[in-house]
Amino acid sequence: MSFTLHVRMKRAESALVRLLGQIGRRGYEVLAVRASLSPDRAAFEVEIEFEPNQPLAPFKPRPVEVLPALVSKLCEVEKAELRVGPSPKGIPEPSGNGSAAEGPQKASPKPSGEMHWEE
Amino acid sequence: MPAEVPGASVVCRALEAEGVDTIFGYPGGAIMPFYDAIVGAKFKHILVRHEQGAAFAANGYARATGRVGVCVATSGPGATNLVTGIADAFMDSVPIVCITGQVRTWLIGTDAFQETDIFGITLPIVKHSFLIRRVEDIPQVMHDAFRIARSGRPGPVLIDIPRDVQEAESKHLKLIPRNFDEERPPAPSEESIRKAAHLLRESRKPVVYAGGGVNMAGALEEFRGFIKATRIPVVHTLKGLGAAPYDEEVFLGMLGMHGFKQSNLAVQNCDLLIAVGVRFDDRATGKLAEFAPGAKVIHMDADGSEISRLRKADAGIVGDIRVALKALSFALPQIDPWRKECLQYKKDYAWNYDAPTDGVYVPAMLKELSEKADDKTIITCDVGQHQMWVAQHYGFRRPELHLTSGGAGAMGFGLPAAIGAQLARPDCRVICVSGDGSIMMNIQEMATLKRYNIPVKILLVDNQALGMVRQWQELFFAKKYSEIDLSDNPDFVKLAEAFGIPAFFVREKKDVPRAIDRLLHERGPLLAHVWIEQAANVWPLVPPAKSNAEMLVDKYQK
Repeated sequence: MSFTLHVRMKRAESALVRLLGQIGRRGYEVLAVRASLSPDRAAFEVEIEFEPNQPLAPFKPRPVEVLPALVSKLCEVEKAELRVGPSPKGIPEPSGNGSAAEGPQKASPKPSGEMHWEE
Repeated sequence: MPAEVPGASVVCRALEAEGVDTIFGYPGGAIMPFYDAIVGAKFKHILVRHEQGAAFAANGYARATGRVGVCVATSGPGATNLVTGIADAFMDSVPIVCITGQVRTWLIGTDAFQETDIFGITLPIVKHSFLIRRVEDIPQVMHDAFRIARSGRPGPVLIDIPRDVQEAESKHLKLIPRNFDEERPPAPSEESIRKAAHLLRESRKPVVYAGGGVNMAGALEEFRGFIKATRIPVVHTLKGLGAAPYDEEVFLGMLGMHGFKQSNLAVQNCDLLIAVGVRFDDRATGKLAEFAPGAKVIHMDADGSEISRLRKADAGIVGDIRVALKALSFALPQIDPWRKECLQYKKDYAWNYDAPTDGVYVPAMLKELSEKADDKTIITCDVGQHQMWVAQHYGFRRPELHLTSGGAGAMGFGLPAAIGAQLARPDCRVICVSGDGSIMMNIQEMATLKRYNIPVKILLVDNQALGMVRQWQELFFAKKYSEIDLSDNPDFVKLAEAFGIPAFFVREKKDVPRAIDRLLHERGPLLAHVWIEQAANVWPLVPPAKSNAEMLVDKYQK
């Protein structure tokens, strides 16, 4: 199942790289990204579609519910919200035959509310 | 500040305004304007012999005082040599500010001489970082860097300053004063405290699992008040040692991979785990799914992202833990039988220090050192067996007296950290307990000891091997020893003397008391080279990927 993280963050040196790194390093795979600069060019609005990495058995994926708090630790981040499923706006799929064009998975109709913990 | 000054001078004035009294560094091309500007500065610069030494010294300075440590290096290799020290500060949440020179702005990205993208390299291991592109930004960046480093959950901040920015003249730059109000985490929600109070009242077998976050939050007094009021048995992580003084009746010892049996048993059998300033590190929890299997969890931390990250919290308390600890400090008469059970564990599994050997038995030596040292003795450690022996057998009275590389486990930490700690706390005695593997990783800092006559004492425990690796190869790799032999070590006494540091050799148990007396009472730097058996192991040991209930123990211990 994929999820979408909506982030508003200040524009700063390598802010987007820092954001994507924080997600990738903590056990989640970024599937798609849409970022736009605010009209005053001071902030980014970012939507990131991601899914938790699938570790080898018997371990379970990291809980997604903690990701907004992990991302909010970054100094530039002003707001981080999690949604289940891909962005409602639809993150554009890459052109060509890229395998990544399989794109976002179907959205779950509602959050499961289920937390996953390592076993 | 004069009307027009170069950026490097603004950096110096900002350091002074932050109250920095000592910085650690090593000059080079891209940081030369800064080194020009520090001549006559109000703070002292300590010239280390390797940039890693600077990062660890700043780290030791910060750990010993809670103040921000500062290190400086040039671009390229100077900056990359800081990386291990920055990672260590990140893993252990230590407030340091690292200033690096960078090639001139128009050369960035051209693979210029001594150009590395230190900003990019360190992104995953800093709390925050800055690349200053305009001299006008220096006051704000310096203010923000120190604020970020020390506020909330502390951590390292990198400031990369291109040479032309250091040289650029600027007019009327005003420094920004420190704002203490913005640095405290907010109070936790009342609802979260109510929930925790309910769990405490319901509990019959609670255990407090406390870590480095207690001291970081400045919550020592409130934590001790909480223990005094509730009388809940306490275990500590490596970094938490000293939060409850070692002689506190309900303190059971360190938990985890090399934790004491009574600590791990108490945690495994508890029905409520009160996790205070901890992050459920794998070295503490063992197999996470089997850690405190029957317990509900109260987790309190300044960093909200730690709550429920690895273990689901039944009550998560985010913010200023002092408030929560105070609110939860009430008597729990229903836990009396459980406390007695834990104290019985403590009695049953008390360490036997009478090892049948004429050689030096390190646990006994460290216990004796601990008993003879006063409350103003700081111990820094390197990484390996000696580090675990210190954690187990040295009785800490306060957390800031125990400086150890916990999360990163960085060999080479001990000596430079001791230098930083000693310069930060000249009123204290600082002893670096090291191993023959670790000491060689930053041995060059003996020259720093000598140059500044820093009275750090080194207790070098030499087993002529990479002992912890050897122990694991013995126990888990069928005694197939691979690349652990250090029997061709240099003569450490002669080596120390070559640096101008007095040194002596200890081989037998009977010589230990005299050695300890010398370490505690001689003036100036000193090295004690203590020879121990190569086969000595650290016990207990929880094998990798096993539950903390599955401890291996020494044949001489219960």
